[in-house]
Amino acid sequence: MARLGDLERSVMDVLWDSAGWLTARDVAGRLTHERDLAYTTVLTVLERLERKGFVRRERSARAHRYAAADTRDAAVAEAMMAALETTSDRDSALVRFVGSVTPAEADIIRKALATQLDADTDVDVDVDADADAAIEGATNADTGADPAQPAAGSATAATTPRSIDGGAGDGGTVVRS
Amino acid sequence: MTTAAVLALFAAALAWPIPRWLASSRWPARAPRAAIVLWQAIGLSGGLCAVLAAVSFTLAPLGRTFPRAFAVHLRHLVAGHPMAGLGPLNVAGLAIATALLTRLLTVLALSTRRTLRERRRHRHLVDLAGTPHTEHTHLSPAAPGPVPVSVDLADGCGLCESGLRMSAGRLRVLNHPVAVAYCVPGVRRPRVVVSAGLLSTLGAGELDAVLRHEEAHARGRHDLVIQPFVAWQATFPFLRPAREATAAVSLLVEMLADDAAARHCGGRTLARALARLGVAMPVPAGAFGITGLGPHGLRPSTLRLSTLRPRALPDGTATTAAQPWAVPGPPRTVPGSTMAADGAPHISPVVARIARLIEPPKALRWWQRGPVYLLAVAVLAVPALTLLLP
Repeated sequence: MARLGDLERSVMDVLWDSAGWLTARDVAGRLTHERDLAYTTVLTVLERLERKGFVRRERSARAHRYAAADTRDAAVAEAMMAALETTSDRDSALVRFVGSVTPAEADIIRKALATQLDADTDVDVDVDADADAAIEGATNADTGADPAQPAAGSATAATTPRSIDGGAGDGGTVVRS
Repeated sequence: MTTAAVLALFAAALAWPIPRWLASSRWPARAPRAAIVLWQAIGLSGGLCAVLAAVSFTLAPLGRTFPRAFAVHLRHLVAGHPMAGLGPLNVAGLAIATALLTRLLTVLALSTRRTLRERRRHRHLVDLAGTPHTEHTHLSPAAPGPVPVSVDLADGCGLCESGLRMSAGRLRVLNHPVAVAYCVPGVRRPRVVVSAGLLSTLGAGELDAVLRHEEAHARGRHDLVIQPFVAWQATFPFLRPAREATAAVSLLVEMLADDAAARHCGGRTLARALARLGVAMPVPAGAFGITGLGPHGLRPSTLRLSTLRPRALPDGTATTAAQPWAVPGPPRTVPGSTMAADGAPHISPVVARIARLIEPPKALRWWQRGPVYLLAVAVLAVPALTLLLP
């Protein structure tokens, strides 16, 4: 099954990378597959792709010619549109990691990033993947500054209100960096 | 007749007050799995009670208890007189019940078929247009064939560093600048899809957390959990508890996946990934024409603000203004939260999940979860017991 999927992808890549119409023989010639593929195999794959609507066929007297129904970018865009239209985790066709947020919520989240989350970039939560640590028992370990998030990482001693890990619970705990 | 009345009473209770209570409870965030089981029991038992109430109402004239009436009806059926002894009112009741049941099953079948078709199409799409991670085309722009994913990977491949090897076969990378991560569920071939924008937005640790979250969705078949509730909501869109149940269950499913990811990567890493994506996400503000949207394009969430604000920390100290969403008192509303009809402020699932990950509520112990499961069993046993007891 996986092999057939690979083959379909290779054929689509050939069609996407070429400008005009190709015969099945052209496609077979341009395939850079690890093994030589029979002409009939390529034809079968092209017919499958046409049934699924990814490939268009032009009937001509000698041999049918094929082209991608849409550009590669359009295919990517279609997938992205479908994913983004999934307003939240509710729609069951796809399950998206983060649903849409309102501008006001984005502000709340931004504040949380600034005051709570980015402060931790200095203090990477490092849990052994195998140790089945309890969620609340996540241990903090100093791993030095993370170059990926310079926003809050430059402070030598960021004063950050933390209420859970700090222990005091009244905010204003100084985070060691 | 009493059997029918009792069953109708149970059906009514399971259709309105009990879901309302569960949706507004705070403990489900502390035991998502148990809460999901309870939701399923409530949905299943509620439907059964309603159908059986109609049946026993129809057969009531045939005998004092349901088993006896049912036996008499069977005898009539065999004798070729199915309507014998039944009044017009009874038959009308049965007709209405049958119509409702047919509608529910039809909606379930149709929405399932539509979902499966969309998923198959989408799986083909990402298989053809996406890049499997194994090929590493995103690292070698000169390679022929697929267009390299346009990410600046100066720090190396975050996907490789993420250390999650198990999903390599189901992972697809879409070459698109908008950050998105999602899961295409399926029996044999689930797909976890991430965009190039996601790879450049998140660090390796955060990426790992996101992948583990999606992996938990795919492995746990969370789509199957949500599907019946979506169908239930589509059947009775006017029923508020149906909407609340769907919202609550989908949030609980997210929490399950969050917990699975947090066990490996730590809650704060996942919270940071959620927050970065939440901010990076294009804001649709009501652009999506899906029924049930709130005023801001936000579906009313059942999670109340109080859920986000633990009354006290384990050691007894109260949480104070450290959290931007910890707004004291009901008169003030959180910006961004929508006001429900009953005036209670509601907050979006994303914010709720971030808050829960930053300040994980204490998970319920087994002796606290036990009663929840027992309650689910009891709720399921109600229809059968009511029918059999005299």
